[in-house]
Amino acid sequence: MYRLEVKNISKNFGKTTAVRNLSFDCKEGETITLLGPTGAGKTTTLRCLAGLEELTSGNIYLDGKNISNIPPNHRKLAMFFENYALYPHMTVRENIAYPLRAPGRRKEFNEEKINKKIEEITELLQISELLDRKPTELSGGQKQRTALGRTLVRKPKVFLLDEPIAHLDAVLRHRMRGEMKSIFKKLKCTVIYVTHDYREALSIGDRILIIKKGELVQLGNAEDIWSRMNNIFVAKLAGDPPINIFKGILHRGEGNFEVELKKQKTNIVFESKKENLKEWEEKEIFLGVRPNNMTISTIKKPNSINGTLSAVEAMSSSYEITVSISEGKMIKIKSKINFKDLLNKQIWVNIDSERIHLFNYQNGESIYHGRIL
Amino acid sequence: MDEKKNVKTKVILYILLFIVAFIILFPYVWIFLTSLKTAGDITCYPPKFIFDASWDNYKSLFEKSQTGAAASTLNFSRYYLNSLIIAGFGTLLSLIIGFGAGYALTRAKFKKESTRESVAFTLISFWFGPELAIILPLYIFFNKLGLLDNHLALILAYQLIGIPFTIWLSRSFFSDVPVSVEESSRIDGYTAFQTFWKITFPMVKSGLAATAILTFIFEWNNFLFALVIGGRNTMPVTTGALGFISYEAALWGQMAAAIILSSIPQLIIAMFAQKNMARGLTFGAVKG
Repeated sequence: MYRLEVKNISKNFGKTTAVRNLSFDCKEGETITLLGPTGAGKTTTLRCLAGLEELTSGNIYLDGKNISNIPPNHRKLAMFFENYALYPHMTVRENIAYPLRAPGRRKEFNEEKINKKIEEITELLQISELLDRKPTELSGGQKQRTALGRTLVRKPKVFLLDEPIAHLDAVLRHRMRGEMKSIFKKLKCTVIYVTHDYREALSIGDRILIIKKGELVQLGNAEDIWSRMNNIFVAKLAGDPPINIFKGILHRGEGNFEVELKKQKTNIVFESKKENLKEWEEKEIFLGVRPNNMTISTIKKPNSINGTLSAVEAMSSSYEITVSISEGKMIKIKSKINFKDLLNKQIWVNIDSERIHLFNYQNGESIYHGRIL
Repeated sequence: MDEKKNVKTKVILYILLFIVAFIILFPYVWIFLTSLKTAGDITCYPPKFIFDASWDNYKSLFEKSQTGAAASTLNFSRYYLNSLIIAGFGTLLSLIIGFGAGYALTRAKFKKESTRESVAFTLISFWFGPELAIILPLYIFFNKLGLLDNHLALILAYQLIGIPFTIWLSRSFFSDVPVSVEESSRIDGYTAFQTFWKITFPMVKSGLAATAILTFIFEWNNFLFALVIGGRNTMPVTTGALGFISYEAALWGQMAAAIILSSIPQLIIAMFAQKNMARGLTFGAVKG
């Protein structure tokens, strides 16, 4: 278990900046997931930590020691590559033993110890029967486990994982998500985990680092990301279907606030004692409502928007409902009830006004969060 | 129906293969037959296909006191040794430099990505010019160095053929090795050199073997450099075989025997390496 500190690192490729002034620290035994859209600089950040890319500026400390200029073979980190990067001419056994046979570890591991280690790790990952196969004879899931085995077999200070379960099929991905977390806890690893899937990020990470165009947007636990997002970007990134955004104007009512949605010709009323809302009165703002904080009814209720129910899709445990409202705008609702019989009919979408989010109209920064969850 | 069709296509295929094999092998078989004939049988017309075969031509290649004025100056085993030395060491040098450069050209970071292709193209362009165009400057160069009729001179001259070829071909094999595999090895605790030796090299082995064989064949077959830069002491079999034709007589039989013997190393290599060759040369093309 080790502590990793990243201080103001930047990485430029020619004129393009992949990582900009990024700082964070990862405590002993903590798992941090790096979440962001494609091209956000997640993998580059990981490669900088591994020493595969030279830093343009900034420093990386491992247990207080500056490792910024140490070559990758001396950094004592293990990395999992998105494409697995298995050695094709070696068997599964040789692949997993490879890091243990490295010149720097020869004194530490004799053949007997290596075999014992391999046995341990392959049992944990349930690939004991594949030891004598070559990577070409493995399925995607088996390759992934082999690569994971190779990453986990030596006890490095920090594990760097780049999209370790992205290429697995849905069932296996779901199972591995749970398994990974328990493996990390069992081995008490310090982990930096890169992913573009918010579910994975939120379920695996103790904290989630959200990155956009190489810059840190938010660092926090799952609850922070889900309910106390810093801006619209984070709100849209986490959530499937994504959060619904409406343009409105904030008014102060009697003991409460109102968001006037001009296009939808309705007002959303909510109570808040937050002082900072004063400065946003009579100004344009964005209103954000998560699909699971909306319900559907056939009669008009307070805080509701009129629309036509245009599609119902069955998901694993719920229904994803599409409602078209004014001017061709579509909103998504998550519901336990199948509203198929209301298809193409006029309905009302009721917004749970206790769980809304407000954002700055100019820069998308968050200005108000309703109750959590 | 299908089976009949299959048989038909197979018959046509075999006929075509036979024609191709005939065209390719005919000169070789002809020379082999010539090497077993006596001088009289070789020149008689119409050509004889049934004759008293003898190994005399082969034997005479290795006898010190040969008959005939032209043969008295010939020393075939010496030529053979020269060929082995020059092509052997020449190939070795080409491989060491060419593989290193090919790897560097694949992996090195260039400020401008187009530089990589420019460098590679410049190197392979050495192959485009005719050897005759550079033979005169090359002669003057080695003459000034006092290296004419020296094995080293020929080995160096052969690098003009060997190095661009090995760089160009090995580069395509190296570029098929994913960078992440090498990076993974670095992180697993190996230095760049150890990574090359343990990961990259085994992955491109068969491709490099194919490259080595082709380089050896090109260098073994070279004629012009050997003719101009070589001399009495360094004459390889390619130019040596010319000695059988002289003012007094043309020793066709011995010449044929010499040619057959000089093709043996290539045949042996090609037979052993056939599997590697085919795999190596298609390695890049069929990768999934």
